[in-house]
Amino acid sequence: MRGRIAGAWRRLAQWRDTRSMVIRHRSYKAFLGVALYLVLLSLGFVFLYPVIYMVSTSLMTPADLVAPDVLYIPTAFRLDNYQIAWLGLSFVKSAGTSAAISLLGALGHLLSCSLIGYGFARYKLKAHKLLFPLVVFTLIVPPQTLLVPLYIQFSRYGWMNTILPFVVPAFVGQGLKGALFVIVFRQFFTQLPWELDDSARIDGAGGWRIFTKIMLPLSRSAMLVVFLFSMVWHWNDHYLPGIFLRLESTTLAVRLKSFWSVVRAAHAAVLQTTSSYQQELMQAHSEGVGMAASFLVIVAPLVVYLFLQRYFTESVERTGLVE
Amino acid sequence: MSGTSARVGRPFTTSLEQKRRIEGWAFILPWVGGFLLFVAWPLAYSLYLSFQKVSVAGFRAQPVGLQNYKQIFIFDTAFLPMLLRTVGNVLVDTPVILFFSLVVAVMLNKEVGGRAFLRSLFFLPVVIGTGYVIRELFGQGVGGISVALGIEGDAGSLAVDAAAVTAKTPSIVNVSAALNAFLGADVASAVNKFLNRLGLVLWRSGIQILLFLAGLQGISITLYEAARIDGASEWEVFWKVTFPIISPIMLAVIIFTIIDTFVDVFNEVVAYIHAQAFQSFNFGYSSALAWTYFLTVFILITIVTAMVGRRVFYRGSR
Repeated sequence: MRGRIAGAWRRLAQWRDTRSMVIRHRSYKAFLGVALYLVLLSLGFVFLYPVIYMVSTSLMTPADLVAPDVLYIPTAFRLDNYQIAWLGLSFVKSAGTSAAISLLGALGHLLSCSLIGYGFARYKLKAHKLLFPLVVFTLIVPPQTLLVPLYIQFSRYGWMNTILPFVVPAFVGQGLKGALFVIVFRQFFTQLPWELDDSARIDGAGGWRIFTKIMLPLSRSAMLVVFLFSMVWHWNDHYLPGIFLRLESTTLAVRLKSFWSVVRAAHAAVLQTTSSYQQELMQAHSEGVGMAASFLVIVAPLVVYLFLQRYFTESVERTGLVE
Repeated sequence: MSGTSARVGRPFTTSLEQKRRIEGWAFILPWVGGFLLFVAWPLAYSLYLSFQKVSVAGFRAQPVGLQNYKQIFIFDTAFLPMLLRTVGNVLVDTPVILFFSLVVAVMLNKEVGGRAFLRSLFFLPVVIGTGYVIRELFGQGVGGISVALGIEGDAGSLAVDAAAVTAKTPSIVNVSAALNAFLGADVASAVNKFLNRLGLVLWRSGIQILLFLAGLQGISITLYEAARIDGASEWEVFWKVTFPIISPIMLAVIIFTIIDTFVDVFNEVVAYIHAQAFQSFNFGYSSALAWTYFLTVFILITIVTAMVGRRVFYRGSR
């Protein structure tokens, strides 16, 4: 009798222990899930906040910006800042230059780096042992080391103030981070099965045919990655266009740089002569206009990104860039 | 050796191997041409210039031997400290970026709702990464990513009245406005600056997160299952399975981050070299500076690669 009660009690205790263990485990998991989500969201906020700040500031009047109780939502939506920014940036002309450099540069990278990466991947030349490390080497060299000679070189060619200094190097696998794209393509092409080659050659295809008709069409994800990254990086480059292009015909990114300093200079000039509230207003106005200009500069890549975001992140996974 | 077998009787045919070799060269020839034109020649010319004194009028170059380099190492009091500071920055920032991007990638790799949205979010900085936009948003000065935590320049922002700005600007800064109340001005300001700098560091991690994420997704689930069956805890799984497999990617991320930091146009060394070349027109001196910088970067990367490369675990042969 006692044995039975003891047995029953034991079983009950086991059930209770297991059950609480399961519940503890489950609530532990749930807790982790929630914590994870919170952490991710807060980090995500760090990334999102500046954009929100930019948009909301750019839409506010100076009075709103100065008022302590107006935080994100303007009391009155005004596009004045954008009007000023549009003119100050010479938006249409600058955007045109930016677009030309970005699209042609990206195209150049796409065409040349695929070719070159393929060559490194699918052919075994002894020279590769020297050449491929050189490719990595070009990434390590700081552009400043090359800048003065390049400046001289491009002046001699008569390429100054054109988009050629950006586009031509891109078509030969150099240009802005070109070596990186060569590496990406090489990595991708290394992974395609050799049987494709073999069967194509048996059918009498030559190297070029194999590349254009078989390998290249398969490399869609790599092509996408290279094109998108190259385009975005070209668009955002504010250093090189500032050197090779004159101010009137330069890219948006460079215009932004000079725009900010013009705005600040104008603001500083007025600073001494007005009341402190006026000063705050001027300051706020500069900030608002500056933010509007910044937003105008990034709006194109942002829109492209919003539509193609899936491809940005997914494509990297599919290039086999990482194992 | 290689061409002889097909040559019997016919003087100008090429063997299969030779044809292949020609093809192989044909594909990479554009790169070789580009390299010679746009990298090798400028690099050599830059080295040549570094031993000259260049006068602007008529652009005449006068050989002066090691004078420029002497100037760099002995007389120029500004450059070497700048260089060391930049190297210091790199050494500090890189592990931080590595750590954060890995953590974020691991988190993004888990099954949480709205994952796609979060991933796009973390990639945003890469897309809107125009230097000046980021600078204005974070209010950093040209000193840029400065050395010690808590020593940040505010030259870039329009904030004249710090208190007013803190009160007005919601965000990380405002969090610290609240901190101000609790911790007292000094500590709060240091924490504030740390958070600001942290934000900047995170903003530079976009690509690294992407690389890690891609790598993590490449790990087959069977490995995890096997580990779980063998009774490994979450922590053990990470260190014994995930970590070794992504170690090659870690090396790539480290190298990429180092290069990215050194090449960043806002760092003081780069700004100095640029000023010497395009404002003071000391082309010879600036070339010497640039070469010194280049060698520093090169040596650093070689050391890091050697050190880390040894610990990298490679899965089988490819």
